[in-house]
Amino acid sequence: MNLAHRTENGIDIVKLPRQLGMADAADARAALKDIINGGGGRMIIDLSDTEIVDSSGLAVLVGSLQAARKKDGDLYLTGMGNTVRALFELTRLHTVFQIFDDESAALRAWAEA
Amino acid sequence: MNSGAISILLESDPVEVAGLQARMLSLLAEAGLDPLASFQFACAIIEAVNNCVTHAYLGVGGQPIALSMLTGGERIDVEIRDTGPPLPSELLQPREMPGGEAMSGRGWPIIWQWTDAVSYRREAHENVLTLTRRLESAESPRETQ
Repeated sequence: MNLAHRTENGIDIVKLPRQLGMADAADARAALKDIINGGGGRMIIDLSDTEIVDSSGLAVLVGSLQAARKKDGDLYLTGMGNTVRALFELTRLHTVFQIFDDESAALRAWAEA
Repeated sequence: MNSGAISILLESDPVEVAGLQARMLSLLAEAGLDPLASFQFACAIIEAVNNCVTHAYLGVGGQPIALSMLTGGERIDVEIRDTGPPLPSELLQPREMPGGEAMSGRGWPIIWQWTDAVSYRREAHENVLTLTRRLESAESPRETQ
């Protein structure tokens, strides 16, 4: 999976594609793991293009969160649309992740962390 | 809303399932669900189809999965058929969402939470799972058949 990735002030910023489901889960998991292992574990995932997520996709995000926290980092989510947010609320993952409206808010939070 | 029946045949391939979700969103919207309800019901359907791929067929590709969507009146019924072994009865009971950082176990709770009814029968060596969503339900009560 080709994820859009850049680094800003030591924060890995990744934009996920439109769909994160069972077909993409293994590749996405591996790509995010590589980024986390190669960086400092401080990450922002931008979901503004992501319209379709299933439980496999959620597991990818949870696994990445755990990997980041093992490096004393964290994984912030941004750009979540109403439908994907509903899935996070149903699964209670909105209480596990720190979720911000946009990337600049997440970057500010990292700067203050 | 539009009344009618639509049949979709898939193979147990994650790539085919990926294509299905976008298609379901469109079909459910055409059937009269609003965008959030379409997303919710499409999620439930995809979780059920994912279960066919990973549990009924244990990840073996090329196996048949048949979807039928029936619209009419005040509800949408989606019937999902596979030829795997019978579903364990404990799966057919509503279950709690797993805890925060669990890596699995969210599929069936999503199915239960975002449908109005779930029914299951075994018919001619096929599993037949039917998911129902009422057209006007936003947050829906559950019923078991």
